[in-house]
Amino acid sequence: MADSIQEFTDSRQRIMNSSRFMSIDSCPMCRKRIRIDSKRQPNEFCAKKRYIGYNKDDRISELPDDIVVHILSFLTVEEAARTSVLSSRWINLWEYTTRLKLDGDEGLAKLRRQYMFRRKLIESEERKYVRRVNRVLQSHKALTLKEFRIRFALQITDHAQVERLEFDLQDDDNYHFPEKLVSTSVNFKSLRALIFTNVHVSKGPIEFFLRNCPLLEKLIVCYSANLSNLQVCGSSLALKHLEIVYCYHLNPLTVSAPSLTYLKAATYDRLVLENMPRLVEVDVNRTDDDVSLRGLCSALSCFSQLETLRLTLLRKEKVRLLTANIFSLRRCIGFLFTN
Amino acid sequence: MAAETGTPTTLTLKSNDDELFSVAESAAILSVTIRNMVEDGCAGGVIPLDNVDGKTLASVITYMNGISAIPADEEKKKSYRDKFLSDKDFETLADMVLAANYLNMSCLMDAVSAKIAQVMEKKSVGWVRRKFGIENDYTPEEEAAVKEEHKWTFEGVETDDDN
Repeated sequence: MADSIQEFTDSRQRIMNSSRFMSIDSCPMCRKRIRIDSKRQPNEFCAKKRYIGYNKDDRISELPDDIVVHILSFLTVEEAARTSVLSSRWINLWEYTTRLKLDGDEGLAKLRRQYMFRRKLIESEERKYVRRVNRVLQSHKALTLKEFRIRFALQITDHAQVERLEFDLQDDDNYHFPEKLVSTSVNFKSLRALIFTNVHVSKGPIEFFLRNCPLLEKLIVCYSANLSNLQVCGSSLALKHLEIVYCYHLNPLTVSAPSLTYLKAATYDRLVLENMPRLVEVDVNRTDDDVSLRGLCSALSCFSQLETLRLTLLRKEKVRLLTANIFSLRRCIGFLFTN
Repeated sequence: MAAETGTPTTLTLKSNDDELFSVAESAAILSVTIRNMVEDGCAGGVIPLDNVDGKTLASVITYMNGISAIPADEEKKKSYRDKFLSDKDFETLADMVLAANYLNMSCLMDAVSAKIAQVMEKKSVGWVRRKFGIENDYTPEEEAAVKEEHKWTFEGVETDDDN
């Protein structure tokens, strides 16, 4: 596996060094025709035919490049890249898509379940996936990515500027977020959304992202056993949406973020909430001891914009206690009780 | 603005085949192009939209009215979009994606693009060529070379003559 990671990094480095990669002319947002890279043409004969004319009924090939690229952005990378076989018009359009979804890992997860003990087979399949990711990153040319998703996250490299970073390992509950990653000089400055699902990530990397991503608006951590003692604090945080759910060892979670409008904390651990003047919606699970419930209510009563509170309690008899306290809230329109 | 006076402001849009349409300003400003005109105070009189024909513009206005009547509920908006696009043929979708791009309406642009992408999803190269009338201008050798270069995209795909 170590080899594969090295391979991944090396090939990425090569691309970053090549001048072709950052050609401004090739930016699809510049509304220019994307020029076919002469090196990539199969041979010189078909160059004569390029862009001369399509079949009259071929509306899709007639659409401007940026629109075709936009359409291809909704396909998986494999499917988008396969369109290069359609005709010379399509040969490199897929390389400019603004979303890179490398979801080819579904088969891999199935394989892991089926052949748990055949380590070699699984490793060879994993290598194949890494090669494919490398392959895509080598060819890909968009300057900004709206989304970069690897369902088998190994190493994130500096692919121009990433706006949304999502780690989603639904079928693998053993993946630990590589903490080395965040100490590198990767440029995360344009990151707006950061999502960890089923990835064990500890407070270190998350607080790194909070410190180094001035535009970060959305942070979601879902199912991480490693996370404890997290502090989402900072007077200059742009964070608007925070969800920390199913992280069972949080105790405590401290949040102090002036721009936050939505907070979801599905945890029965202790919450310390302060300085969130714009908070509109809160969704929390609470323990049913009176002290923590009173504490929560008095903390929430300071947030004057709060409109919706969803509360999941363990026992119903606490409702009365709650309503007694909740009147201090300005407006409160939603409750949910389980059991 | 409309909300302050209580009477909704209407705008007049003109298609490139000289059809005129009235549309509430509150719905029309879904288009960033039109919104900019309104904000710059140049939306009085008739707004000519040189890149959109009457048939497409009528359709886009139906969409503008429909979607702006739905309060901020992303689920409902999505289901409206799905329903709105469900009976459109590819010809219409191509016109709409061009119009949405010109009018700078990202929600419509995304919905139409996703719909077109959906048609291509999980289909062989041959099928897509036939469906959209794409002429294969590669020589057999060129096609083989492109395929070889993109071999990784065919992994796990059923191969037949169509691929």
